Amino acid sequence: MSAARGDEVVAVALGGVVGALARAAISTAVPHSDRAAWPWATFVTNLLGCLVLGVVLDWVDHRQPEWKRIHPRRARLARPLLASGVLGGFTTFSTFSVETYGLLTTGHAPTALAYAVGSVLLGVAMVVVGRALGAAAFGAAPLDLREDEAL
Amino acid sequence: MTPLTILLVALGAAVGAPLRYVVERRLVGAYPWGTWVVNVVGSAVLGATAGYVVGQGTTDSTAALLALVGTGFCGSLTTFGGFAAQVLDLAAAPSQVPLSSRSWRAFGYGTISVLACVGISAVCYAATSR
Repeated sequence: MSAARGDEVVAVALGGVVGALARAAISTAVPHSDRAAWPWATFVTNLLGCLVLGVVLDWVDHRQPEWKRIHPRRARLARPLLASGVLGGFTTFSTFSVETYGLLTTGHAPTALAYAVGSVLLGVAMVVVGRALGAAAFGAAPLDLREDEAL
Repeated sequence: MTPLTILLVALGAAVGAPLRYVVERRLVGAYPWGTWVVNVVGSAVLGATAGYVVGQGTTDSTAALLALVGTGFCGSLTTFGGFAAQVLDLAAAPSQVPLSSRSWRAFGYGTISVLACVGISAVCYAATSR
């Protein structure tokens, strides 16, 4: 729909590096060497990321009108830096896909199904909980502010 | 993590995350196809990389490849948080669409994302691991 501006792209890159390094630190601390085992590192990383993303989205939405008046640059960059950058880089779909396939191919189809469905349902639930926590802390944000914005 | 691993993950992420943002900004519509595309592409590339590394065995160079392309680039090109937030957005808005239709849209987007990403990573993994 619209081209991304240069400073937004830089903000996403910076945030993405921070998020990816945090994810790499967790996967190093909790190695996933057995493809037949439950992928705990990715599971916890994605759910934690969804929870924090919900809080961040609510916080940014809530602050947006004030920032647009006083800090137009912050209003534009907060979401790319924190949501698309840090939390987009922290959470991952590709590792989730390969791990689900790993469970399937090692004869653990029920575990694969539980991992896939559980990650999605709990991930969405974590965003809801995060947004509710954000609304409780910062006040409710009008939902329609999120229309048309890239995550 | 060694300093080299940190550098490789950071380099991959510095390319993957902004690429996702640019694609998402280009492909905005009734459904978040931009996120769908980066998740499918990232799953394909990671499947191929992981399969190749399994076929080659763990060496310094395959570990570096996994850090740069896998953990760094694919990990940051794809997003689970953005995906989950979008499933929720599809279910939440617009309010003039009945809740049952919105729920089906969210369910459909979620299902198509998971099936496409797991499917393409399986195909790519199988192709490179032999």
